[in-house]
Amino acid sequence: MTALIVSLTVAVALLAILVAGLLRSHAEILRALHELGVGEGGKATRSSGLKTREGIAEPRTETTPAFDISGTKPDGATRHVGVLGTEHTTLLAFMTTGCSTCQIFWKEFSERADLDLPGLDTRLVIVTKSLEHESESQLEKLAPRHHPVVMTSQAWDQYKIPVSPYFILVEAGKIVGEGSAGSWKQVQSLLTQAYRDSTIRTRAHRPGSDREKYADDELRAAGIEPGDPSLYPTDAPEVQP
Amino acid sequence: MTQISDRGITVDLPAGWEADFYRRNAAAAPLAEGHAPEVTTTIAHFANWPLPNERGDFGGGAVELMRLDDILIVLFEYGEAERGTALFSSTTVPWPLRPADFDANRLQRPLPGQAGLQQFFSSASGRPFCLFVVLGSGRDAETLVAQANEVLDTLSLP
Repeated sequence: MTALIVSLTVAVALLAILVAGLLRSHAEILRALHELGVGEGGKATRSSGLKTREGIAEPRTETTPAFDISGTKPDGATRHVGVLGTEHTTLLAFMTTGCSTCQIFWKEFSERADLDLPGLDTRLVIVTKSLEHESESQLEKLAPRHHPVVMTSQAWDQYKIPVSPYFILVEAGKIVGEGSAGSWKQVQSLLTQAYRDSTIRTRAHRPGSDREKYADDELRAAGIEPGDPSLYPTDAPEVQP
Repeated sequence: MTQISDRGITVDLPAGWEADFYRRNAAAAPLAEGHAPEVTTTIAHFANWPLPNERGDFGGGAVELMRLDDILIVLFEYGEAERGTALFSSTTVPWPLRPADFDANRLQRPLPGQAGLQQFFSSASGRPFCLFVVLGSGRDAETLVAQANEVLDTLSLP
């Protein structure tokens, strides 16, 4: 009888240890899943307080101004792309030949000359690291015909790029959108929204004279010239109860 | 201004300008046996607008996209076989340019409103070059030529 009680006690103690271990493991798995954004509406909350959608890398931890891009092409010749002081918008795509997600973008950029880029007269510039960090043969194979590729590790350092692929949209010398994604469609969506937000902000902060000119231009574009009767309604608008 | 250099060619570019250098194989001076070994020469394009990735040595495929205030400067180096020939006898760089030097008939491919200029010369070391400049609008030559000269004045050749 004593032996039975001792055996049962030992068995219960072992089971208790096993259950405690399982609970702890379960808690760790839940915590890890939560950090990856699984559950709770797909939002992940990290200690930094930043929130990203599932599958999208966090933005840069430090913002930077925009810089021109200077480097070499895959054939070793010099290429300089003006990003500042231009009238057009520039989309910088920081990519490597090695990362698997980048392959999706290399393929997309090679197949399409017209990428339906967000912004005004937007031009895509692919930025890889310098030759000492890149595969020349891979780059020759992947570099698209229609879009410039500039190899410069300096640009990666200047823009403090955290991950590849990473996209930065520069308009009027300012970074108006940035981020990473797993498909071109996601990048388009992310940056189109950022560009629209930036446009609205810019309009809101125009000085009075600029706002007036902007309103005039918009009205003219809609066929409404100064003095148009529609600008001076004679009937008072009906008041809704 | 941003200083750019490639194989001995150096230029300071104002904000908004870009540069694209590339290389071509060109025939060198013939050897005694009559064979001309291949050497690489440099072609440089400078522009105040976004150059399309695919274009010809003298801007074909790009000039068609130029707007009124756009400028394209092409510096084309010829091979050693051309060194010392009559076409490249001038050892004075052709800049500063003058608006009167530009004409619609001096374009590789005449396009409405545009004006161009082409000058052959040799650098101080005797390397043969052609300078080809296209203005988006010949009517604005005064302003555009001043901008082109701002870049050319900083150009240093091997």
